[in-house]
Parts: sequence; structure tokens; C-alpha cells
Amino acid sequence: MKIVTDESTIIPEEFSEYVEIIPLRLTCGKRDYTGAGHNEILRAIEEGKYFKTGMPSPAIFLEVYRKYKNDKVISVHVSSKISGVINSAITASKMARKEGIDVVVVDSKSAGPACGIGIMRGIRYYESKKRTTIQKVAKVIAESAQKSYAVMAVPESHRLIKIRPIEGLKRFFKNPDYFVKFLRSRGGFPVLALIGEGIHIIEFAREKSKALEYMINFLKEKTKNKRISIMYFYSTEKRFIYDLEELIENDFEIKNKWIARMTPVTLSAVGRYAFGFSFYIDE
Amino acid sequence: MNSDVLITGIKRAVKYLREKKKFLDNINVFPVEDNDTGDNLFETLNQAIKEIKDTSPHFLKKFAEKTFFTARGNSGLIISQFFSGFLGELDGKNKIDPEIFVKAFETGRKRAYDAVSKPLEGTILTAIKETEKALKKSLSKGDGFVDTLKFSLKNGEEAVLRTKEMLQELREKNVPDAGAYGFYYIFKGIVECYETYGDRGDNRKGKS
Repeated sequence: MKIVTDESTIIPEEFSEYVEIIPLRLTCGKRDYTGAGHNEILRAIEEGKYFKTGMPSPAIFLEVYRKYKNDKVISVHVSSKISGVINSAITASKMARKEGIDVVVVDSKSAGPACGIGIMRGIRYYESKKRTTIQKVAKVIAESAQKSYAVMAVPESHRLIKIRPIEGLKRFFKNPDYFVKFLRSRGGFPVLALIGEGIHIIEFAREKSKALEYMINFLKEKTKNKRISIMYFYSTEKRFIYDLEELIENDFEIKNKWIARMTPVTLSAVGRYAFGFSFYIDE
Repeated sequence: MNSDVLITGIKRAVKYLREKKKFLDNINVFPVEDNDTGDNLFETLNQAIKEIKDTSPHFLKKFAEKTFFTARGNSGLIISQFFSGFLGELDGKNKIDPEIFVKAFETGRKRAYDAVSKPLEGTILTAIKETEKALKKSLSKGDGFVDTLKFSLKNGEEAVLRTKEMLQELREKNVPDAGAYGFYYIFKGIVECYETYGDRGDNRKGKS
């Protein structure tokens, strides 16, 4: 089994045996950054550059599906409400099937971090079963992603205003509640909750400690102290994760834990110092 | 009509997109206000056409195949799939009569709808669908080919303008859908070429 996803998804490197990540089209003016690594993106961010993302053409998906023609392929992507990438995957998958390649496309109906949790749970499910089908694994992935939550602090939030997938922020000034929160924080950065296909601002924080507090409160509210599987993620500062781990692992029962660095495209969208976690309640 | 006229029409369509891409970018507010639909449509078709020689046999089919590689954004993907169905059926035909043209258009429309996980009206899909409806209506009345094309272009444009009322984002900004308008310009290029050249398609490839 091979899982194909795209750069919107956040997933730890340890799953690379099963997962192929297709780069999103990434440009800054006339310059093409598609496939660029973290360091190159970071340098561009430090130079004050802003990026624009675009979906890969169906031909790119088809090429990858062909590469795994002897495998069963599950192509998992963020919600069609957030990005058009899944349409490219669907178009390519129809052509792949005509060539006899077994591809199932999954709309995770979630954002990147929850999509990652869904994929990981799908892989674990696959490993635990001697006999299963890709349809069953795809179902586990979709259900897990939809039941997952994510929370993220974005200190360089000005970048989000210019980036398409989180365009909801652009409208935040229209939302009186957000505006009050923003003023109350005296110009803090947003702490976001990613629930299913929606992106919401929980609060604004001026200091990291306050952001951590909001994140933990969100976790408590959603889990009600039930056992969880969790994936921490960061854009540039892994050390921020250690603070989170300390706070969370004292108070919550953790079944599985992973740490992932955000993809270069996600870094280009959320900027430096962003961090957070996605989690799934293990019933 | 024949393949040569259609090739010239596609070139004129690309020319229209080049001229109108800023306008299309400016009215692009759905699904998100990222102001790139004009650019995406133009680049999808322009990159594809640049890679094929004018004298290449099966130009139309090759062009449609190239757009599969050059497709940008949802509109680019949809137009690529439309052309894959539409031009796939017309490629290599010395004579394209109205019935064949409409049948190919229908295949293109089906492919376009199949390209997206959740087809939504008020978008480029509506422009394609309404143009097809008008083509069929005019044809059933017994109109000539030029009149059929002109009628469907006019009806297609009216459908594009009606998209203003079909989606909340478009209503709020009082603009038609950028992808739908882009399709109108593409079809306009084809219709105008047939009006200009009629069935005299020989040696017209270089012109637009």
C-alpha cells in the first residue's frame, strides 16, 4: 500500500516508507519555489517575501500513481473546501484506473494537521490487520481525520492574510468577536483551532505562555481528560514543542505521540515560530 | 467548420485571455478572493499552445493533452478536462458539422463536471452547461452554424452575468464568476474565427 498526499498535509518523517508527498506549486512573483526545501523558504521569508500556492496539475498526480502501479494507492488530501488539490487528484485517478492502477482518493474533509493524523491512523490500522482492503484503510483515514482536532499558534500571522488556504482570517475584522479578542490582547497573534473544514480563532496572545494556556484549555475542553493520540508540529522552533509536551503529558493520558516539522509550503504560509498539535480521542 | 478554423479559434481564445486576464483576476472572489483565475486560465492554455508546432498533426488532441500538464487552479483543471472531451472528438476531422460540434461540446461538458469532487453551479461549469443548452436549442430550431454559435455565445454571456446572483461571494461583491467569464472569452475566440473564416480553414493556423 502506498499513500499519496500533498504538501498541505503535516506528517512525521517516520511514515515516509508508506507516504509520498507531492509538492504544491509555490511561487513568489515570477520565481518558482515548487519543491524548495525549508532553508530556501526560510531565507525568502527573512527577505520579506510572500508566496502564492497552487495545486499540482493532474499530470503530476498521474505520474506518481504510475510509479506505484504495482501497489494499491490511497490519495489523501485536505478538504475540497480548503483547497482544489483533490480535484486534480480525482481527475488523475480516473485516468490511472483506466490504466489498471488501483487508486482510491480520500477527501479528508479536514485541514493539513488532521489529515496527517488520519493518514497515520490509517497506516497503523493497515499494519495491525493481516487482511484488509484499501477501501477499509481509506475509511479509517477519512473518519480519523474528520474526528481529529488541531490547534496552532501563528506569531507571524500577517503572512496568513496573504495566503489562500486560510483566507478566513482576511475576514476576521468583519467578525466583532474576533475583533474584541484582538483588541483585548493588545495586538497579539492568533491561536487557531482547526476543526474539520473550519478554521477558527480561539484567542489572540501576546506571549508564548499565553498561547500555550489557550491551547491547553482547548485540549481540555475537547478531550474531557480522555486518552489521546497526539502529533506536535512546528515550523522553525522545535524547542516550543518541548514546552507543550511538558504541559500536556503531565495532565493527559497519551496513547501515541509523534512530532513533525511542517512542510516547506506550510512554512511559507504560517511563517516562522508557528507551532501546535493535532489530536485524536482514542475511545 | 474544420480543425484548422478551430486551431485558429483557440489561438484567438488565448489572445482574449491575455487581454482579459487582469480583469478576470480582479473579479475572482470565489471560492476565495485570490485573484488568479485569469492568470490560471491564460497560463493553462498558453503554456500548452506554446509547446505544439502549428504544423503538428493532431494539433487539437495534442493541445488538449498538454493542458493536462499545464492546468492551473480549479478553472484551469476544468477547462483542461473540457478540451480533453471536446477537442478529443473533433481532432483530425476535415469537416465539423454542427451536430458533431454539439456532440463534442456535450462530451467536454461531461468531462468538465467529472473533474471536480463537488460540481457547483454559478461557476465555469454553469457557463459551459448553458452554452451547450443554447447550442442544442438553436440547432433544434434549424439555425445555420454561424447563427447557432452566435446565439449560444450570447446566451452563454447572459448565463455568465447571472452567476452574480448564484453564489453568496459573488452576490456580496456584485461580480460574475471569473472562471465562467473566462470560458465566455474562450468560446468567443472560437465563434469569431468561424464567423471570419467560415469553412475556409486552410493555412489559417498562424493567424488569430
